[in-house]
Amino acid sequence: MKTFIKYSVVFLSLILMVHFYAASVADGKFDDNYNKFAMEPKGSIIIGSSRATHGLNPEFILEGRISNFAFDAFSSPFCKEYNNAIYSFLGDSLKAKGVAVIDVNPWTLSVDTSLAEPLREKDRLLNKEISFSQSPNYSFLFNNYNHGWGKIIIDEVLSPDSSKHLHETGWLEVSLDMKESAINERKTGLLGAYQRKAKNSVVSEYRINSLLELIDTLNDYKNVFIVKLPVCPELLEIEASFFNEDSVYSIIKNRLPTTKFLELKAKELKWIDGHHVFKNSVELLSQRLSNRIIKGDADQ
Amino acid sequence: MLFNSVEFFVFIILCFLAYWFVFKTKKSQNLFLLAISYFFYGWWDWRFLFLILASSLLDFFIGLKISKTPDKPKRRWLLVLSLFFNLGALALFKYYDFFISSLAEAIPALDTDGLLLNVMLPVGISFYTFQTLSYSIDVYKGQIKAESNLVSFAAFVCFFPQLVAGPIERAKDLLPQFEKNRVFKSKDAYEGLQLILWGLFKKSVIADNVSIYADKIFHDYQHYDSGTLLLGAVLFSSQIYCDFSGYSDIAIGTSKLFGFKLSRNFNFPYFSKNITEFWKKWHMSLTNWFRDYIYIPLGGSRGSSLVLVRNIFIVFFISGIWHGANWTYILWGTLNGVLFIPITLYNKHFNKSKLLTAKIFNIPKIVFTFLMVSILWVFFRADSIGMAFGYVDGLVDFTGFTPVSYLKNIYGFITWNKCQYIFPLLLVLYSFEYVNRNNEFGLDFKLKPILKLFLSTFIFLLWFVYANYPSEDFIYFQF
Repeated sequence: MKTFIKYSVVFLSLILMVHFYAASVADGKFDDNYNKFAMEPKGSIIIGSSRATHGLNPEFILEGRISNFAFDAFSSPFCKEYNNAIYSFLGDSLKAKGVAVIDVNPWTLSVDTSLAEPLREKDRLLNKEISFSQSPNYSFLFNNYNHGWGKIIIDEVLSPDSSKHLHETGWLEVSLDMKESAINERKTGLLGAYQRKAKNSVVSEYRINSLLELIDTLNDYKNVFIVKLPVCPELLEIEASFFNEDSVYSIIKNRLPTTKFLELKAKELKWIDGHHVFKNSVELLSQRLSNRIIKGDADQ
Repeated sequence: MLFNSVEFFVFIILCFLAYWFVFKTKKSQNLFLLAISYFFYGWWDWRFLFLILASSLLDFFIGLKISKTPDKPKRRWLLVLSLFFNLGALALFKYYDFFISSLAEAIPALDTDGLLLNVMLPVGISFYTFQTLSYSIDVYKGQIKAESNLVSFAAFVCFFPQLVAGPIERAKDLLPQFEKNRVFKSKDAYEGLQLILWGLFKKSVIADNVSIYADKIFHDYQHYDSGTLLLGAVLFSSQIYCDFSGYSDIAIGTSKLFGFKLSRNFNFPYFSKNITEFWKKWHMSLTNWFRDYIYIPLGGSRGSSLVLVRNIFIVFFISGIWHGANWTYILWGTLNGVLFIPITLYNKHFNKSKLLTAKIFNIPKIVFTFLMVSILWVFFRADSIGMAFGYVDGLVDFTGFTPVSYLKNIYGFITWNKCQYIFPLLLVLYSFEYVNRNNEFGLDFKLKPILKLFLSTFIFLLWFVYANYPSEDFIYFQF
């Protein structure tokens, strides 16, 4: 018995050690969201979906005093779960002065009525028991990471994936083949998928109310900007088929008259698929946003 | 609490230490096992503890009563009472809604909305019901003595390693183990740990990775060609085998840590040379149960060929129903019976031909049996009969078929979905199992300890890197 226990303790320790090591090297290459739960809040915050995750690099906004806490339209449409996650992430810094950039787009304010559960966020990332601002973040690894932890070592140390890197600021850097043909292939696939999705999408009162509640809470402490990030014209057309921007904006304006709207445009921008801005264009877009915030240059 | 969860890992370490270091007497160990087994079961849904408790109490007292009653008709009535309550609970929880829905489909004019119960299926009910049933029947037949210790009996019914998905233990094998003092044996404990590791490898590395791609093909089967559908069927075969036998390995391994020996549930079934051999090696505890309590009482292979055919058919039909309240399971069971019958009849009436049993045919026979079993699994996996036939229809649709296009399509699916990595893993699984096919389990190498340690470390590393943890339970929990 003693020998068995002795050997078991040795092996158990080894098992625990390799797991601790894996957790210690966990960073921005093994998972698209991990660093959002590992980073510290900086008072100012970027909120929204993948457009903002890809397109806004905090390094170039407000001298880096901002965190990118945007996820994707599946995990972070405007909803109770996302609002709670934002408040939990900000913690004490919720009440600190700063800026809140909220990327608003049709997909985060609508629901897909063809789904059995239109509120898809219910069984996704932000509805799980995960704590924020911890590195290593064991609650994330236990409750959300669905692979053996050895894969973290492979992805981070032994054979890192060079196509994606979630920075410690929350910006997701994506490096893909930017040949015209590759872009077109991705764009065709993406537009097709969004076209199908648009047919069953309707603007959701629940999502609008969640956004209003969020703005209202943040307004007490922060300078809130509703930001429209640029996408390709074809996608804009698809979005317009079910989303009346003016009417949604006027609902927000009526309920919260001090809300500032800001539309970013840039002819020089390049997208990887017509939706997400290519990393080389991110600096330009981020700086443009930063300059307008600093100048207080809102559209309305 | 799933066997492949962190909770179970912590649970098992704490229980192991308490069991051997705190509870040193047989009596206290049994009481402790009972408590942790109820805790383990209650982790899913504590309300169903009352059901298992009621089933245990009922069979305990009926068993005692049967053993003390010399009057045969009275004994029979007591057995009927046990059967009624056990099968009644099973019927109510598992089959009632299915029966009502089927009735509504058959007679559309019938309004059955108010008749549906929509009750949740208690985890493992089919397993522990069969275990307690076998106890009552064995006591009735005088094959075993009635258990007089309630704690031992209740622990036998709900022994946590095998409570929710077997192996279905017989009272004559498991109950006596609660009655004797258990001594810690290092050899058993090491073997137990190896079994747990091998089970985790099968479940988390093979089944839970393969399931991603098998599900993909099954969900969208209308859009795939014959080659890809065959790949889907073969992948699901590996999934269900590794899911279920992986659970059994962990169950047997865990029991060994506590000084118990459970019966073997799988004996490398995919190396079978025909379907009858397959059924002797797949889910053995259930097959043996059916053999002893249904097939043999019906007359077994004695009597005419017609009786034999009927008996086989009944057993496979019931086996299908046992697996689930859905016509797909019933059809799957029945089709297995249909394939089983000719071989059994051949073996009954003819001597085995030397040519057919020649070793040279072993590999083709193994491959053929595996493919046949894989196609039958389609009926098990499909959501409906229509889907099953649609899938099989696509599987045998060789329009525009050339061997190159067939392989090209399979290759196309693999590269598009980036699932190349699962094939080396499957190779490790089946080569380890093939090498050890005459031993107890796939990691049961008869080598020097240092080499065994090396191979175990290799499997651990594969688990450490490739384990996948989807939210689904083990497949057989639903039965």
